[in-house]
Amino acid sequence: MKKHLISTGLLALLLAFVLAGCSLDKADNPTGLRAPQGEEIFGKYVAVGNSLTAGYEDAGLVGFNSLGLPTGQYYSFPRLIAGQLGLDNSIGDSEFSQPYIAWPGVGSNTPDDPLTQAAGVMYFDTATGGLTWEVIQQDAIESMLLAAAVPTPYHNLGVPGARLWEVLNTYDSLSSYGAPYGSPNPFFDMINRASFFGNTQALATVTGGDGLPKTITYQTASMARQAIAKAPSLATVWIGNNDVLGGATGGNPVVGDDPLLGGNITTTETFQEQYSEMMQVLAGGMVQSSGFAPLILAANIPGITSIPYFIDEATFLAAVGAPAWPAGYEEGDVQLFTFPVLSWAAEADPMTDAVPSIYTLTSTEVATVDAIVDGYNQIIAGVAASVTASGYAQVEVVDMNGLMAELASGTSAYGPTAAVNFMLLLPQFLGDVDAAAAATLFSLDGVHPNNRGYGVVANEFITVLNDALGTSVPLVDVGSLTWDPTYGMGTGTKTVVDGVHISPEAAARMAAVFR
Amino acid sequence: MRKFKMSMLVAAGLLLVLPPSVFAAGFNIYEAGSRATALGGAFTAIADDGSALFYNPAGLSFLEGSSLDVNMFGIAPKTKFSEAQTLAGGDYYNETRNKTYLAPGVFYNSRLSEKATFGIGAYAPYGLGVKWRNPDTWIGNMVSYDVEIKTFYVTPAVSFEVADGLALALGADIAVQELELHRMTPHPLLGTPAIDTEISGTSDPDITPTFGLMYRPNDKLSFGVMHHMEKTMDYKDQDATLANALAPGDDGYEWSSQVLAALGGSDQVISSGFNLPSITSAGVSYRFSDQVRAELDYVYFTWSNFDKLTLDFTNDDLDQTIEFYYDDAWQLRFGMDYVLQPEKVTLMAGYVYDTTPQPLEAVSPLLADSDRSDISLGAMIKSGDYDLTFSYMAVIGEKRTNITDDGLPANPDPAYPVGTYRSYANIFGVGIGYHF
Repeated sequence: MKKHLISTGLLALLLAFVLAGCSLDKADNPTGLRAPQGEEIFGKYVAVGNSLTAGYEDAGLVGFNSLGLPTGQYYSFPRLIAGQLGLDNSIGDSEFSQPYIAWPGVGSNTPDDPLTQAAGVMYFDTATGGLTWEVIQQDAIESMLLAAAVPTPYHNLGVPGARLWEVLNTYDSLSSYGAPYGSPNPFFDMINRASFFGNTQALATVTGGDGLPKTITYQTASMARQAIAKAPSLATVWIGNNDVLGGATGGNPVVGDDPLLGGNITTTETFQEQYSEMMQVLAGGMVQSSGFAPLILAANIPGITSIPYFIDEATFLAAVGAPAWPAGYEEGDVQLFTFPVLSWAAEADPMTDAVPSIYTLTSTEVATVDAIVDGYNQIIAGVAASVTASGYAQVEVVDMNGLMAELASGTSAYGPTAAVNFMLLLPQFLGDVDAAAAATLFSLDGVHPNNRGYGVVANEFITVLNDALGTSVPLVDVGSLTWDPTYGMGTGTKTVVDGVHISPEAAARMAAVFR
Repeated sequence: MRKFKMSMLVAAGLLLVLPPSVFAAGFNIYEAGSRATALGGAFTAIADDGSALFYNPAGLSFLEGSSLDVNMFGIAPKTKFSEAQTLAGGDYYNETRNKTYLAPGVFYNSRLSEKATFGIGAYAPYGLGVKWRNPDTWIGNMVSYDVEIKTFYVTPAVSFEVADGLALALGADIAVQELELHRMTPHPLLGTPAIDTEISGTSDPDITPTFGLMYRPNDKLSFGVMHHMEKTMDYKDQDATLANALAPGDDGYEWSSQVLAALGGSDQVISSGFNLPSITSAGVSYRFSDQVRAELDYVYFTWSNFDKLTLDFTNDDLDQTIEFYYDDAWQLRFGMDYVLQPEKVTLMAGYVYDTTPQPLEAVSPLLADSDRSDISLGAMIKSGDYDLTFSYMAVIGEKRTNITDDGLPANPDPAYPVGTYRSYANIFGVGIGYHF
């Protein structure tokens, strides 16, 4: 009997223990995750920006040439970076997706029929020695969007023509910056795909310039929100170029925020507010979506007047084959000419037609543009520092301004000053298109890099990335990147041997790219 | 804020109609008989009631006359999740609903001759039920917010006493499985549930042999070995339903409706297949006195054959093969009988140490498995031709935090919430035996 009592007593104790064990309270907060470091952040990368991020070149956006060979978007600097990070950057719903566009690409409207037609990417026509493009019907563009069915936002969210303000606020062409002024940007429809995702307004709390919190609105199908939704641990942001570029390429830069009053360059005050808000939303949003502080590589603005689109007086006169332009210039103290001036000059009478002001930048205008770029870059550096100090992101500045200066001065590791020269002005161009193409980092539009140029850009980002993380991501082998300005439509040997040959239509397209 | 976190993997979410860890150790239910359960499942060497058809059909040879055993188990699992801390916070908490799942065990056995005994049983050796609270906001709802799996076995067997005290049994396991899974696909920018996916189906029957061996050299000692073979569960042309969780006018409706249209509409047809592990148990029982008997079993599951799940939709865009990472797993089961009143009352207790086959990266809202310690209790009361058995088992899982030693998520797929899971289950059983 005693044994029975002991046994049942043990069972009772056991039962009490068991029931206690099964009444677990709310689980304790577990060990926290540590933030990814070094190469651990490479897995999820997203790119925010404009045409330079999209892989735009030759006045259009295209992923493949007429032979189906990769170009343009395929060599966008974000895609090149993704490849160096080891991500699957193949076409489709991959680890680094892009809004690929099929040949002949999408550039701009056509002057003849702007409502129903569109011009493809600009290419070099070996038969005529000029620049040309395919004309497509606008309703055919949808069938050219090779990645339209990707059900999530693209990793490369670069939208050609995008201004800083549009990163938070634009989700389609009608909400783009230029829409109220008759210039909606259709690339937002192709890349942000608000008609697919839907759009609504969201709120975000940021710190204002007075140091106090304030609530701002932004759009859920905006570039920023789409980037955040990818929960990236790494982002590149290169934005702001178009806030100054259009004013400069138009020949008459006017600093002012209201286009109706003639303003075509965003003031530094507005840029400060917009850049700060954008970076805070991006950083805070990425923390919320991923749980960790991301690394954001923020590129600054290159010196606008160093790009091949702008030529000096000596180059202008050499191109027109005269020691002077007797009719003079509408503006005094001209320092630079825009490239389309050569098209105008071919039709003009040098004895009676003064060079219009839309083709020239005075030294004062150059100074204005350069000062604005300097101001933007100081703002970018300041915002990067303050967001980094907040702890919500590590923001490192990628000095594209310095890179451009190096390239222009010929002190870059990428070669002599020809690297920034315009292909059509190179001596090699007179006979050998391939040789001319290999001697420049810029595309036919004179503003955007070519495939090799984007390799140089990618390496600048990768260098900063490695410095920030202590990693050793290999640089892109720029020498292995090729660029065919004929897009497979020519032989590579120019059959018409002359100097610069750029039609008025081509000049108009070059000018129209950066309105 | 947490809902928005789930917006990252919509593409994968669309494709992963069946998630990668539907099944795990908890998918096995070792409870077929109430008496065996009270003994911690340590029953292979003794197998002295009708549930021998699962635990060791050779035990049929040592049963007298005929009997009918009807068992019913109420399994009440609970899983609690606390999200790991990150810069974004990480204070999210959720738990599964309180729900009791029923599992039967019905066995009949009859002696065919002096040396041969026949038995047939129906029971449910594999099952899973994980139903999370707050499915719309549950941060694991991309993987699962409600899953239920039921596997039914019908096992006929014949046991032969081939020598004095030595029995061999041969039978067949006829298995049919039912599966139901619910999961969400959120809007990729808004994070709110946009597409609700349901898969339900019944597998084809699968028939494999089962074996048992028992050797009783004397009244005190008994050895047993049993084996249930690996099985393949094939689902052919089953239903999958993709429902729009948004209504016209809702933010994001354009996306969900277009995606559904691109996928060919709400009604999808799926065929699938996967393997179940074999179960092998070896045990030894020793009767220390007229009152006390103890048994120790070693059970081995070949979970490593549970390697992948093939998903073959009529819509080929949805096809995929999901790889698993499971390892084989073992259990130690110990049980004791204590005869309180001879021929009237027997008390039982048991202990189980159950290792998980589930690697850390597979820990998920479907099942957060872990090494477990089970403790069981029970009593059997006999009266005439009847016996009545009550059993209780506490299944206590170790907490499992799906963070690697390096401090990073074990599964980089952000659909898998990162944090600590704690699981336990209470299993209540009752069995009635009738002997004739």
